[in-house]
Amino acid sequence: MTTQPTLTVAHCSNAGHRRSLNEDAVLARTPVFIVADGMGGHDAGDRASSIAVEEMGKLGPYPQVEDVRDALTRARAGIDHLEVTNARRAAGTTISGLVLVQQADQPYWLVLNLGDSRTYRATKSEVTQISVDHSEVQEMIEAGRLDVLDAQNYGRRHVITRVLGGRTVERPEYWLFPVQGPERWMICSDGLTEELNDDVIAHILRHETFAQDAVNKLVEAALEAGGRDNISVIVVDVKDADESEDEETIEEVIGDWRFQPGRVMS
Amino acid sequence: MRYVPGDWHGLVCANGFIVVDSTISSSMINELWSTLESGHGFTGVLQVFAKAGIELSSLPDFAIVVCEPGGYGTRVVVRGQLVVSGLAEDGPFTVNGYGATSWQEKILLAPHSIEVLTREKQSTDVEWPIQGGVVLISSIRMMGDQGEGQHMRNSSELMPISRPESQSLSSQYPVVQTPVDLANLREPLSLEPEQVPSRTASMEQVSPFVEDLSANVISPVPVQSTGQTTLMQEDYEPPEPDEDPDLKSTTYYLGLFEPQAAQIGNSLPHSSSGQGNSDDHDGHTIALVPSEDDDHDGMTVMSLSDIGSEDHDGMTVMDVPSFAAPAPAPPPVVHSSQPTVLARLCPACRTPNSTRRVDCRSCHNTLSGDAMQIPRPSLGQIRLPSGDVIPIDKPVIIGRKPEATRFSNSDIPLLIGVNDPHISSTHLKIDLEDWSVLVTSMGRNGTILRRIGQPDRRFTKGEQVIAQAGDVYCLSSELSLTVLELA
Repeated sequence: MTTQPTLTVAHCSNAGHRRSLNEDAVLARTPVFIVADGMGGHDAGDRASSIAVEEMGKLGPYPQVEDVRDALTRARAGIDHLEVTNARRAAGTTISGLVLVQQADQPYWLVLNLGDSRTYRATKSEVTQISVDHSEVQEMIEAGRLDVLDAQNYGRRHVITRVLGGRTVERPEYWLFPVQGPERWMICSDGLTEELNDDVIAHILRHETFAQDAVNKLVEAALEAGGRDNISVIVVDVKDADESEDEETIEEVIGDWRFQPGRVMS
Repeated sequence: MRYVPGDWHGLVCANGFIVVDSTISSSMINELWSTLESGHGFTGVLQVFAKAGIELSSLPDFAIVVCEPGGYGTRVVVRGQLVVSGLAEDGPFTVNGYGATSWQEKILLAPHSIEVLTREKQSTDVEWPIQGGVVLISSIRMMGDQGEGQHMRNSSELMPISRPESQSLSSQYPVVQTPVDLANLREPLSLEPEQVPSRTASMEQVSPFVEDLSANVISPVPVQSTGQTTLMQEDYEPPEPDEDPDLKSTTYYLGLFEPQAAQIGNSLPHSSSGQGNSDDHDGHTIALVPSEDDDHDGMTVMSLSDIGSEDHDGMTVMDVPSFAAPAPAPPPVVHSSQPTVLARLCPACRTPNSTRRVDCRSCHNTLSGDAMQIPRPSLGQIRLPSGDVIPIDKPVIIGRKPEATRFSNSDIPLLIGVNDPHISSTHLKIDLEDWSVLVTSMGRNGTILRRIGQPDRRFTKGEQVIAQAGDVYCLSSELSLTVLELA
């Protein structure tokens, strides 16, 4: 086993200015760092995102990709059940984020996505949106029928094409990246990306040294820009293995990660 | 087979069963019954719909569990508001019709138990046995047990199974093998068409007071009286494994068990008989019941281990009513996203073979019969640079720091990190496509392919080759990957 990076995590979830209910749910503890943005009538959205986070929270410390897949399936089953008992609008949730998985004794970031919450990766050289939205607007862009610049004005930009729950078989998309620092991951609900364009997001991610400051700056900026939806943000900083003095194993990384609870701003 | 009464049509015969919503006409029910009986499999069912001029988009919701002609397994096809789940040869499975524009389907080679759940709220606690016929149902299930089934090879023999250590009802009823052999029925049992019950007739027969063991079509018996139900519920105390306070929550949906439940092992068989005492279920209750180790409470009800056995006599026989379907604790979740391939099963050893082959890759018998979609088997073996030999059952990505981009539940890759500075971070990718194994060079320096009978060849970034057995892929001067065998 080679040296392993350490993680610093910060997160925040804010209902925003317009909504009384926060239907987002956040889980930010090793090995799961995810944001879920619920939808559905009454409190169904709230409960759907909670179920997603709850099921993902049951993952043990060394999950395989298949374990994550199964957790998503169980979450979907739970959400569908919720929908049945309420017999109201279909409940569902987006889900996006990272799971620290292991393959062949090596740690990897599994990026997962369903819907239009997002996962970004910032390295020394660039900030990249890794997840690809499952939204009508994204599909139109990919099909060449909509210009990226027109997308912000596209009326149906909140229509998502995949969801966890909503009486559909879940079709998550995944990516795998070796865990290697220094890098910063940012996961957010569309309450952030609705208010801030990628340049602003990239600027904050590049210039804030500490994870907690980056989270606070992002949420503050989104609230200033309108805060029309629930805003949830997680930032995970991966410290370069070579910067660490100690030879650490993955066990130590997991035992050693430092959780900084997000400041609740309301 | 057992069912819970409801509003959906359930058509049950020796070749399989169909659940279809109650909007379709009784003449079509008869048509569906006939084709089910005649052993034409799913194709026959489709022809009934086609003959009636029903377009794909306006097909009724249905679940079809049917032996395919030629004995090539059991096909499960689900459309709309229905879910079929159960235990097959490789663990639990779920086929869910929701969200599919046409239908979802799956082939099972040796199912142990199959259950069809409708979305209908079940208003009754009763569950009736059925051996054949057309009934109105809200859920229906078929159970089997390989081990216990050995006792019941002779279906004409009524075998009381006693259960002395409990007050179970099972001791009061005979147990015999039912002739429904879903796994592999080469010679469908034939019921005469005129014996096919009309919907009305079958409804009449679903009387708790009718018990007719000699009837050829349907033989409902009282499964449980209220008093007995109460007795049962009071009598058993479900185990409360202290290591998992959430266990009860595992009962909430379609038998999707949590891993914790699975780890508890055989002590937690499940039943979906609908008599659970939870109030908030919608008829999908999967009750956890206690059992004594492996003896399954003496409630074995159907032998699927009798696949292909010759001693069916086609006589109507009866399951013992049971509260608990004996079933091994399943692993947590099974996905319908598993990739499938078109295959021919060897008639001798049942090895799945590529349709390109004329002889079995395992026993070299001549292949015959129709091809069918099956879960994709391992396509061979490779030796990794580490020396480890792994099956080719999922994509493999090899490199110094390999990455995988935008994959789905059906193509989860295995990433292999190798420590060699001359190797690219993502160097080589192995993909499975149908029966072929494709190797793509991803790295800057390319990959040298050493193939038997050919000069070494460097293939460059983005280039793809179809692997052959014996191929050696040289990632660097030190490290290589060998294709040991291919299906």
